[in-house]
Amino acid sequence: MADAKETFVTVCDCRTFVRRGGAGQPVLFLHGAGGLPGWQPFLAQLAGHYDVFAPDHPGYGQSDSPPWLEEVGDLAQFYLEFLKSFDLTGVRVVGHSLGGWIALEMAIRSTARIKSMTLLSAAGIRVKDLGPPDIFAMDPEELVRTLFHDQALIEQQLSTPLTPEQIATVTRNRMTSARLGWNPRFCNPKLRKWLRRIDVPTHIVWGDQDRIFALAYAAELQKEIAGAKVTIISGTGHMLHVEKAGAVADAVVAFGP
Amino acid sequence: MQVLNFHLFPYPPLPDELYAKSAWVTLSNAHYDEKVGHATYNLYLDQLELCDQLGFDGVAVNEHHQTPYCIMPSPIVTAAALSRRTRGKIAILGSAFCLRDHPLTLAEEHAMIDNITGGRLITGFVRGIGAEYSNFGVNPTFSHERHIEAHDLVVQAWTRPGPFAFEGKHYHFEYVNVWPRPYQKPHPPIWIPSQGSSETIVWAAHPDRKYLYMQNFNPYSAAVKYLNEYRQVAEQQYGYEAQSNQLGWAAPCYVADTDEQAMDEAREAIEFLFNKTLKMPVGMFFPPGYTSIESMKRVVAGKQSIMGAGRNVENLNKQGVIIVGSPKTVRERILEAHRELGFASFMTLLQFGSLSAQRTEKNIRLFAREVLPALQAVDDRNYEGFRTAAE
Repeated sequence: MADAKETFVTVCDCRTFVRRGGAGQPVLFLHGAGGLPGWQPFLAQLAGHYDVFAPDHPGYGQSDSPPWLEEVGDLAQFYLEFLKSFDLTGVRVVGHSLGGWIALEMAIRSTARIKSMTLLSAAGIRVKDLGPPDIFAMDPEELVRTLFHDQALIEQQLSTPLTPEQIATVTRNRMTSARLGWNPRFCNPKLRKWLRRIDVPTHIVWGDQDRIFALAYAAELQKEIAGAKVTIISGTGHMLHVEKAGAVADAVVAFGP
Repeated sequence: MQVLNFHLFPYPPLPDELYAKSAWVTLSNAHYDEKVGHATYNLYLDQLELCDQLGFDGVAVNEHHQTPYCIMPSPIVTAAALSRRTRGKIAILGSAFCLRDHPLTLAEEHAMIDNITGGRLITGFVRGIGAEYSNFGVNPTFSHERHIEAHDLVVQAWTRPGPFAFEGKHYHFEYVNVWPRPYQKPHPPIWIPSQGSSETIVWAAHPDRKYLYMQNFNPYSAAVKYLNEYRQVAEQQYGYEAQSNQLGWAAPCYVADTDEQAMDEAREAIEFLFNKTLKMPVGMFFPPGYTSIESMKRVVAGKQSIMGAGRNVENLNKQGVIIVGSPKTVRERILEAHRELGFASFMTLLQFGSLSAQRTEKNIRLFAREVLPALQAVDDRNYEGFRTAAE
C-alpha cells in the first residue's frame, strides 16, 4: 500500500488536480462519472506495483472546467496531451465507467504511449435494448442502490451524510457528466466502428451484478477489440473497484507486469 | 391593460395511481384514448374561441411534450386552428426553439401564422421545462447557450434579407432564407414567460430587445420582485425607463357568485393541476445545468425529492399563485396588483386541471362580464409608479 502526493499541473490550459503514488511502470487511472473522492484502496494497492497517476478529469473534483470541454473526445485529446506533458510511455491505462470510455477514445486516436488498457465496467458503446438506467432522474439513495451491490456498503454510504463541500463537488461532477453523457446516454455511436484500431492488449473487467452496464457489455466489447481478455468479478456491481478493491487490483496486476 | 386567456390543454384525469411518480416523461401513452382526445381538443378550442367572442384581447397557448399535463406539443397547430376563427391576438407562449435541432422550422411556422392572421401573433421564447430535456434528448448543460443562439437565429431569419449563413456553436446553416417573412415589422412582439430569473430579466430588458417579461403562475411576491427588478435593471443598468407594456403577470382565475362558492368549485381542479400533474422527481425538474447551481445542490443533497405535492387551494390563493373569489374579489386583487406593478398585460387561465366544461364556460362568461371590462379600462394613470429600493 502506498500513499499519494497531490499536485496541480496545467495541461491544455486546464489546471488539473493529480494524485500520484507508488513506483515502477506508469498507470493512468481514469475515474468514472461520479468523480474520484480520494486515494482509494484500489489505487493504493495498484501503487504497490506501479507509479499511479489518478487525476480529477477536467470539470470534476478539484480540476478546472475548461471552456473547450464539450464531449468525451475532448477528454481523450486532453489525456493524450497529459501523457505527453509527463513524457510517459508504456502506460497502462485503467479506466472505470466514463473513464473506460475515455480510454477507448484515446486508444482509437493513438496508442503510441499506451502499453495496455484495462476497462472496468466501461461506458462508450451501446448494447441494443440494454441501455443504462437514467441515473440523472434518480434521487441520491436510488443512485447508491443502483451503483453498488454490497448491501453493507450501501447502508454505510446512505448513513453518511455529505458535507457542504462534497455536495458542491458532486453537483459539479454531475453537471460535467451530463454534458458528456446526456445524449446519446454515455456512449458514442461512432466509437464502435473504430475499436478495430486498438492494437494494445486490452483487459475487460466486469462485475457480474452491474446494474448500470449489464454483463453483456463485456462480451460485446470483447467482440470488437481484437484479442481482448474478459475477467468477471462475482458478487459485485458497477463500483467493482470500490466493492472488491483487492480482487480488481489483482486482476489488473495479473494481466501484465 | 390587455387581457389574454391562456390554455394548457390538460388531458382529462386518469386513475390516481398513474400520477404516483409523475405525469411527465414516464406516464405511458398507452393510457391515451383518442376519442377522449378528439373531444378534448375540440372542447378547448371552443373555449378559446368563446374568449375571443366575449372580448378578451387575445388567447394564449403553449408547448409541452410527452405528458397529459398538456396535450399541446405543437402550439402552432392550435394557433393555426384558431387563426381563422378569432379576431384577437394569438400568443404562443411559448415555443421552445432551443429544444429543436432545426429552429428555423418554427421560425417559418410562426411567420405563417403571423401572415394568415394579418399580424395578430405574439411569439414567446421559452427553454422548455427540465423534464423536456429528457424526452427530447437535448443536453440540459447547453440549454442557456442554445436558447440564446436559437433566438438570434430566428430573429435574424425574420429580419435580415436572405440568403445568409448563420455560423453558431449549436446551429450552423449555410442558407437562411425564410419564406414567408413575418407580417409584423420588424417581427412579431416577443414575450418571455418565466418562473422568475434575474439572468432572463437582464437579457430581456436589454435595449436591443426590450421584450415583454411575463411572470408566470408563481406567488404574487415573485411578481413584485421580478417585475420591479425589470424596471430597475432598465433604469440602472441600461439607463432607460421601462414601459409598462414590457411587463406582464399571469395567474389562473376562478370566479363564482361568492368567495366561498368559488373556492369550493375550483378546489378539486386546481389541486389536481398542482399536486397531480405538476408533480415530478426533483432530478427530473432540475436536470444538471438547466438551472442554478443552488437548485442542483438541493437535488444532490436529497433534501427535496418531489416537486409539487401537498398544495391546497387556500394557500395557493393566499399566496396569489391563483386568484379565486367573487367577481369583486378577483377584480380588486388584479387591479390592486396593477396599481402596485403597472403591468400592461395580464394573462389568466380560466380552464385548469380537471375543471369541467360546464364550470369552465361559467368561469369564462362571468370573468368576461364582471372582471374583464374593469381590467381593460386601466392604464398607466392607475399605476402608482416605480420606486427604487433606495426611495
